[in-house]
Amino acid sequence: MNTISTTASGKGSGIPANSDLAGKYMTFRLANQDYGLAILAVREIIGLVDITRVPCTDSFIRGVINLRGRIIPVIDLRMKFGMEPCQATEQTVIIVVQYATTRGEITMGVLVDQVQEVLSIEADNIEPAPCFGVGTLSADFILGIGKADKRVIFLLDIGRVLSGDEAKPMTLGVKA
Amino acid sequence: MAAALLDSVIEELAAAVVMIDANDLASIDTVLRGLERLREAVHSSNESEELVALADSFIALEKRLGLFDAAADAEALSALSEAVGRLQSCAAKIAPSPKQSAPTAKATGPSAAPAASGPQASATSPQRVTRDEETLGLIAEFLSESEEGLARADQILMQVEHADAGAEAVNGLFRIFHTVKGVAGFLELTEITTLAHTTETVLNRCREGTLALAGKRLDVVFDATAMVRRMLAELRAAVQESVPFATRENLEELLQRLRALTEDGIPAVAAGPAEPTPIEPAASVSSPDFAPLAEPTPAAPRAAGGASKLRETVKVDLERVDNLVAMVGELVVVEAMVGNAPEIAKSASARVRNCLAQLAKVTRDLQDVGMRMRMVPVAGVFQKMARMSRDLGRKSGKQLRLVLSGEATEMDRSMVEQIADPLVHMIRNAVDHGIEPPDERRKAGKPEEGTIRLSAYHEGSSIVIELADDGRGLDRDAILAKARAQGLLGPDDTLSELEIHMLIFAPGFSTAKQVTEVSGRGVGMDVVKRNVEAVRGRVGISTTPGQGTTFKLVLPLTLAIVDGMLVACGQDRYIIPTLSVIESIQPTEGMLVTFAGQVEMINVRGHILPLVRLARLFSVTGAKSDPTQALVVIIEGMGRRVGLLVDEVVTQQQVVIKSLGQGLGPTRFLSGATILADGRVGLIINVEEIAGTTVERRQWTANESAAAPAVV
Repeated sequence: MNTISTTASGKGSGIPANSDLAGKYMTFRLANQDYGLAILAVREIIGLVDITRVPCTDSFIRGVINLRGRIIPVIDLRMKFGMEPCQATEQTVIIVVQYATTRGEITMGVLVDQVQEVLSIEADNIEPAPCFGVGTLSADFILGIGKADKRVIFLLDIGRVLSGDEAKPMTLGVKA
Repeated sequence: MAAALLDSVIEELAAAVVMIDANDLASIDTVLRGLERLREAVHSSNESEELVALADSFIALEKRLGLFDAAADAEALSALSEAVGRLQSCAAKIAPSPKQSAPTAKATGPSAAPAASGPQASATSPQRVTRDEETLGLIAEFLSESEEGLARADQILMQVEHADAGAEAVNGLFRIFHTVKGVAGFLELTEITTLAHTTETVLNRCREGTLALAGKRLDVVFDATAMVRRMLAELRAAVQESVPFATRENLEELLQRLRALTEDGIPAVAAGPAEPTPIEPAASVSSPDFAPLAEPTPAAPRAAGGASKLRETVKVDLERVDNLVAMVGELVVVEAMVGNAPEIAKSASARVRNCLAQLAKVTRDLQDVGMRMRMVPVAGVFQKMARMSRDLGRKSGKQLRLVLSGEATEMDRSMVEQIADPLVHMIRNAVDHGIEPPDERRKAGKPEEGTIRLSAYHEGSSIVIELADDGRGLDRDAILAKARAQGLLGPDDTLSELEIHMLIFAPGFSTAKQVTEVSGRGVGMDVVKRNVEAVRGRVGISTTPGQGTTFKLVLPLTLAIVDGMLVACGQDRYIIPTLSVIESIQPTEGMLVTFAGQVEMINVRGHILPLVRLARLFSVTGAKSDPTQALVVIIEGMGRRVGLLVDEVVTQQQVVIKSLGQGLGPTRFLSGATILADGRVGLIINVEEIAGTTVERRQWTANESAAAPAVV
């Protein structure tokens, strides 16, 4: 079944081999759709706290929070993906992610509707990211599409989602 | 007598060389003058032909240095410092007993053979260790630095043992021994100096490629490293316990082995006094000059009190200190949150309240300690200024004296670096514009020698650096005339005294009649203002014609904490650094001016300042829109003043500055963030950026309220 044999592990060129993608994912919901983040990028999950708005920044940046003395930015993933802003509910949480960039490690909070569970996804259950076609949204930040219990889970490359080059709200949703 | 003079000249020169900095022309000049005096002293004393030759060989170096421009020759510098090191150890032997040394030098000079140790033993200079406070500090620093260097040397040696000695490795070793030698020479630790020097000579040969650093040589260098380490350990013990600094018995043997290395394999370089090789003093004064130092050195004199303690220091990664300070800052916030929690206030027993009070105290103490870890005394910078003012005085033909006080005052280390430049410009300014030439001073009934006082002291939660001269004071008319000529002022502008004084901080402003080496190019005082404002400080001037001028730099205690004014704007809270706040006023209808229906300005006692609505700038919703109901905070940054419209001032408090971190994109109007007492994040406004982006015609002027304390 696994016919793709690229050795590159994601960055830029080609589609990553699915076997590289097998592993544990923290899954969460945005507007009734499931997404997954590689568990290694997730530092912790905290409940919604007071977010201080930072003026003159992009709209999807909700502001900054005090994470035990560290000040970290929080982004609204819904807005980043061009959806309606996240409405605070009982389930709303901030997933604190940490990822490496060329300028060092960045810690950020990601505001999501609800966290689901940690899923172990086999290589067999991961499809490569589809091509959305020219002129539409880049599929770069999707590592692959995982399947579990008939659910479809978009596996996100969080570094790409949050990286500076794409620090603009995306104009298209990725609700496939 | 001649020998004593020579000794002091060499000492001075060595000190100058240690301090030399390729980018500081004044320091190079000091060295050049030192070299000149050295030549005179050597020629007049005529003690030793060898020394004469050595000194002559400096001429070439001197020429190279004379042509020196900062970009050029770092090589010349290192050659020079090396040569001076040689000279120093050479003179150290000769100086105390000049009569004996002359024949000695003749005997050892031309011959390559190591000199017999007998007669020279008495020529060895005794270890003069004067243990005043300052020397102790220097020794402590020397010990920790050298030990670090030796550890690095060991590392390099290990690498060399396993692989070939690359040029980089040899250079690294050379530099380590060179540094040890330099400082040891400065501290008059003759034995360490000699050993380091001899090792350095070997390494120099390796560096030049005439010797390979391998096999036997490597072993000897290993041994030398070990020996230096042992000597350092003994020095430490000696200073701490006030026991004599004893010599190692086997030092001599090691020195012999080191010397043997430089001699085998290559023909000994003749160091004939008759034929000095000017370009390479290093070669012309090779090993034979260093007759063995032998015999245990006499006991060092004990410190007067007997209880001389080294102040031990530990080098800590700055990041760790910053982390610690940040954590302590957190603790302070959390402590405040717990202490102020209404639940506790309601239910707490006396015991809990006592504990909380205790906790609060400990937390504050801890914060204090944390802050102090980043603090260093200003003495270092002050010393540098003292040297510079002497140079400037000589150059400008004025007599002056720099009086320092409060050198022990401590401030944040990054701030000490920041004020070095401003101080240089201020002293130049004082020497060039303030202090009069001697004859003018005599006429004015003042002592010929001008006095500049540089002092540091605490004032509230700020540190004040004050530079006062007793010169002619600021020339009001000259400043005005110049400002008009430069178009900074219209012919009819009337300014207050203070505004006139502040004009000297305008970029490109200079009243010097001619451009001199010292000043007059109009760069300088604006640097002072900019640098001081960059660390959230303030500059003040007071002057009395004919009596002198005083510059006052008011600086925050530390860069990690800022006195902030917490302002509200709609639902948002922002912090404005208090040092940038001039005053805050509730405007009346009549004070508000609007140009073309959109550009708002505010008239503050005749000064028209741009009015920036914070709510508009930061797109805050729910803020007061009627200025007369709100508050205008007058802020100053980049020499400009603007009025910032906010809803109200909530409180004043000290806040720990934190970075906003990455991932937010550009945040130009914010300089950082902090954690407020309720645990939320507060954003710190970048006053420079806000003030700097508004356009104002008289951008650099200040109005009279600058001297008045901020009114809230």
